[in-house]
Amino acid sequence: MVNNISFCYFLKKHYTYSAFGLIISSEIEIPEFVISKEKSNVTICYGNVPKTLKKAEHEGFRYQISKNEFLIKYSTWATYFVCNGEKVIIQPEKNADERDIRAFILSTVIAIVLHQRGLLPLHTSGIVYKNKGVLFAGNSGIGKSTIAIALNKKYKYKFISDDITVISEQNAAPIIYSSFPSVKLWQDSLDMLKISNNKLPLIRKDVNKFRYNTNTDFYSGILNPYAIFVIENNVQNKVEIIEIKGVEKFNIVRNHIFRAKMIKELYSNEHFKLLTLFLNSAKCYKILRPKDVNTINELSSMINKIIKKV
Amino acid sequence: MDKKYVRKKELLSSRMDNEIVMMHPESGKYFALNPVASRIWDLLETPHNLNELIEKLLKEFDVSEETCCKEVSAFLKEMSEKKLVVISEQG
Repeated sequence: MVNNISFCYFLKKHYTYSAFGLIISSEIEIPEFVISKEKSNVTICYGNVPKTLKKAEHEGFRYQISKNEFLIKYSTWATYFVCNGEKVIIQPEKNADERDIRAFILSTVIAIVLHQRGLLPLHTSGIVYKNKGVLFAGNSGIGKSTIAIALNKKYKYKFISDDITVISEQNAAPIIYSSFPSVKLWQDSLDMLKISNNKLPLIRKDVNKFRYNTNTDFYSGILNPYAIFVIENNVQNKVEIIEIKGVEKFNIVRNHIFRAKMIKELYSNEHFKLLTLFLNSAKCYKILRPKDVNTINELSSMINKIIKKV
Repeated sequence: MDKKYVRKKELLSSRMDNEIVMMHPESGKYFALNPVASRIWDLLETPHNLNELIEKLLKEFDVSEETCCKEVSAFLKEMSEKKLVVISEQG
């Protein structure tokens, strides 16, 4: 009898991707990401995670965090351990669906990798205008992805990100990294954008959200900042766009750092430097639009006009 | 009376249009300065005493010497209490 168990280890499949300016080697397939042939600087693998962190600085509902380590347990799906901005270990629960395991990597887990690397992940979608990035920030469900796709479809702006956009610096100048080509859209967003859900895969097992791939409309690379729009609900029944100046810019955009509540002030020095650098070369606007009203055509036309005259 | 004030150098600060946002790295607290306070902050890049500040500000802003003196004193007091400016060791 040949015992080839140890041999199997070497046969484990690895996928290499580029996303958020990182090269990620992953044991779990992530079809949302772009395949890369470069040498990886982040690895994602299955394995055993520690029970607790040795030096947790904060503990919250199902997670523990320190500046270089993070542990989070989603009891139905998996526990994730993230360290030094370069390693993610996933310990899945029995019968967990791979789509669910992946969904948490693409949100909280990857955001913590980015925070640990001293980068600034903002909760925004994004498009490209003249080699510069235009970002749309807002709370979940406000329509960040919908507006980015509407501007892409109607006015041909290339797409850079759906939910998390990374701000970094290069030679003392602020830069934006593109994320990945895929977008998560609810059925009502698909309706507004007139996209059929026929053939679109579900992102999670029991959640009615679809994965839409922007393919050739995706821009991959580094951009200079151009503008950031922060989307909020309007109590009045109309769409308004107001330019924000001064310290108010800092205050409103800081609210949209990805997973800000979870990380507390652990990375506030890094974030202060990157956010002020970014805001000094990006115009900032607040979009107020009525809740539960389809204003996508009016809104995209107003934004298009502003972008073209900035 | 001749105490010279200067910015606390560990502070992170950045101009946002004509205002300034600052962060105290140890406490993690944020502060914002309005346009006039931002101008004083610019001057405090190098040590200044009260009279030197007032002299410069009177040239730039339309304000009486008395009001200016009162407000700049109050500003320096508040900034010292918040540990955003310190007494310069160069005297």
